[in-house]
Amino acid sequence: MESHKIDELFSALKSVKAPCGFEEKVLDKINRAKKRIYSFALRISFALAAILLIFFAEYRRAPIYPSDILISDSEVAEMENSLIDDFFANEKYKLFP
Amino acid sequence: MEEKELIKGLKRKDEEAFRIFIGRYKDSIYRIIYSVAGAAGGAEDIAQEVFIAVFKKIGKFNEKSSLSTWLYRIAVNKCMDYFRKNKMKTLELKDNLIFERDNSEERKKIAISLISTLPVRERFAMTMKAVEGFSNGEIADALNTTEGNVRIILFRARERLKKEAKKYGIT
Repeated sequence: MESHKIDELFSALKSVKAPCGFEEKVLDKINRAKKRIYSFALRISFALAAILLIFFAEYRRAPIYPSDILISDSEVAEMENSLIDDFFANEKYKLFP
Repeated sequence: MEEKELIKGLKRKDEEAFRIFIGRYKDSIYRIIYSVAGAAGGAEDIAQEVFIAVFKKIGKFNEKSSLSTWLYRIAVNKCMDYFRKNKMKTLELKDNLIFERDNSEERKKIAISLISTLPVRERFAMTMKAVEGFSNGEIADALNTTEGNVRIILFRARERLKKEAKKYGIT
């Protein structure tokens, strides 16, 4: 078979066209892919927003630091003295009524 | 719509741009895939996958090559993927087919059967050259090879086709 006959055979394929509705099918699939991407992005942004909300809610709550709990020795002594004074100030427990 | 404008639209994922793009290239892409994978069937599915891949990957298109070259490269890769997953089929020709100039459908069948006897790269090169009328440079870009290599691929493909045609007694 000569080369030009091969070309002639192949030229018959030039009449091949995409099937009817090809464009719509592709666009439909593209739109579905778009929706999937958007819904995924939406879910991610909701999750991020929730994480940020929790973070800020925790951050805004007044934190308790160890220094707030610790009391100095002088403060302890002062508290003890006042407790003792209060105790003996009570009539019931007066040593020398 | 000019190519630059079209690319911008595609990158914006604009539906109208995609409609124009698909309308412009659907027949050519389908023709190539039908010719290359026609024997195995599923040409429409592969062609659809090519355009969906464009939608997904257009953001990565760096505009170093033309949009059409990039598109044909995707088509080649999608076909290669398809052949990796599915066995390549060769269509057996009926004995003593008569080459009739007027019978277009018969000629199509013969062409598809003959192409199916070629290795994948030769199928692409031959289809792009003889059906789409691409230059060797364009084929080289799509197949990611050199022009010299394309000339060799085409020569080998023609020799193989001549042998196959003789084997089946196509006159």
